[in-house]
Amino acid sequence: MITAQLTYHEARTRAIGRELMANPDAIVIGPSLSLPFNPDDRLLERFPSQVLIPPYSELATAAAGVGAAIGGLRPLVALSTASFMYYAWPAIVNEAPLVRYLSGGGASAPVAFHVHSGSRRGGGPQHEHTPQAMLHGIPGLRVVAPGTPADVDAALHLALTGPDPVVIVDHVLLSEVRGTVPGNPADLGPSLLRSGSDALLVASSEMTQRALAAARALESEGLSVGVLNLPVLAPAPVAEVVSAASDYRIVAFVEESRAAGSLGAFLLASLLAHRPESISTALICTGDAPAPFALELLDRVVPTQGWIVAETRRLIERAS
Amino acid sequence: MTAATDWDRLLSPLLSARRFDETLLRSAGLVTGVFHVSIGMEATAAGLACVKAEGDIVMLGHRNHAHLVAIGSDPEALYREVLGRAGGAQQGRAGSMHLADASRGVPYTSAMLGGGAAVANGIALALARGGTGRLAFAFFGDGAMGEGIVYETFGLARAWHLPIVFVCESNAPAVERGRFAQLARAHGVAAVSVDGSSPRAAVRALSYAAAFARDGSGPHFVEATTAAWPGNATFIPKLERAFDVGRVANPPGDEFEAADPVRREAQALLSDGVPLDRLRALDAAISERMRRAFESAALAPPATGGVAHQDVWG
Repeated sequence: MITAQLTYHEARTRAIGRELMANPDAIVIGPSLSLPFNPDDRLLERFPSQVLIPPYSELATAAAGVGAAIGGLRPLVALSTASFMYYAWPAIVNEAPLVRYLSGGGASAPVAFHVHSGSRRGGGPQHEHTPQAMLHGIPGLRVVAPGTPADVDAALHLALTGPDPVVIVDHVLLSEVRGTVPGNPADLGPSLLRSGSDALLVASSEMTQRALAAARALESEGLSVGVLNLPVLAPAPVAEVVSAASDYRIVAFVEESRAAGSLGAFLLASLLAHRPESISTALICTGDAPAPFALELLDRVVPTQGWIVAETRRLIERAS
Repeated sequence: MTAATDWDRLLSPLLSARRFDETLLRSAGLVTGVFHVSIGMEATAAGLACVKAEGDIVMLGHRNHAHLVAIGSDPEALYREVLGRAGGAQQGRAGSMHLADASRGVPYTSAMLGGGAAVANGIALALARGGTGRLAFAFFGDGAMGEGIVYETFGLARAWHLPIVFVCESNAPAVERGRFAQLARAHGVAAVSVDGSSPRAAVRALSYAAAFARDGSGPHFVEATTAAWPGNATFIPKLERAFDVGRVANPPGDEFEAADPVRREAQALLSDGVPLDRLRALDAAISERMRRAFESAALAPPATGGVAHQDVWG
């Protein structure tokens, strides 16, 4: 494949197609990685023998993904809206990540679970969950949250070729984001998307895009803000964050999760343990409420560009 | 394992499973955690040993000792695991409830009710796509039949026409025989119900179900009902009685003895004309093997060191 400028959904469709073509044992359980209001990836039409449609039964379906992986297939279980994965929770948190450990090393379950997480604007409290904060502490699970077209390309390659169970925390609002996607899939890891001298924003998924937009807005005010994109949430990229933050006095973690139990809270604590005296830190997180339906209400719960701008400006002013 | 035509093809796995648990129970104080024995429920395990073909994959549950011993897993490695000693089947990370043996087609063991059955569907899918006539077995108890996961699992197995045999080992005295088979049928899965204290009946049922699934006819369910052994309800059971091969020719002392699958097979062999001395000799050899395996495991050092943090991420 060639290096290309693609939208996020084009990159996702290209990547899953590449993985399914490269390996006849790679399968998708579920009709599509798209949601009904997304551009359709037409997976079932393009790969009829590698796409299986289960009845509505998320738990049996996710568990079948675990077994299929043990049996040598490379399944990606498309669970659609993230909160649907709660029905499948036992398979995702208490079977797949334990197979290698419990088997004594003789077996493993490299299954991928794909979900659409986060606020899609208008989904309401039951359809706009961000379960990543409940997943990043599970030993044996890799949790990835792509923030760019290149990320989703690398994430699908990792999920369908790597050694471990992976949860891909996707985000509907990224669909039309454009970016450069390399010809060959890269390793998935942190990337400094923008450097700055006044503050660093650490973010993933849709919050990476909002942090970038906030940094651009702050630039017009004469403030220089960097953005570190963290597409891998677990195992937690502690060393990478500590290293990337070493040049900054102000570091804020922007996350579409409640602060309690968030990855940002853990990374912030790790950062403070390394540099207790020389740093100002903050969590820019979802408020302590479900995601409400009305957009004006939602914008009071999930961090917006304006919210990130205001919070970052306040941190910089307070530190100077 | 002995060949399928041998006279002891059932008695040998039955006695091995029984003596494994009895030997463990005599030193139950050495176990530092939870374990469950299979006593009185060995018929289906012995059936598995007879019916399982090369390449078949088996998912077990928390009550798994009999199945592993019956299909030939090394008893000393199992004892070491149950006792938390170095050299355990899974290096001390799993314990009794998660005993497994990937080399014998038991990749890992989920101790969640119905958890292994749901995973077994996916294994069956992988085997079916391999196109080799191999199948998956899933063993669980009557408790799993109360869990929603089992019914989702039946639905998926039926929708995808998977080569899988579900075996429900029911020791629930309050549930009439046939009830669980009825529930499986109601979810579109073919089902039979057998007396799970009869090893020969268990073999017939498992053979039938396996042939059905192997032929591509889809999933099959087997309900095997057994008596509840007086000691198996508690977390740390005690050995209340040991099997006595010398009493096989006598009338049963009580209801449990009458329903003891090891005794029933030994009796059937006597009726077939196998002399009691051959049964005694087989039992003596198996008992001695288990005793030695246990002693060696009990002398092994505890599982320690880095294995606690290995095999988490690959």
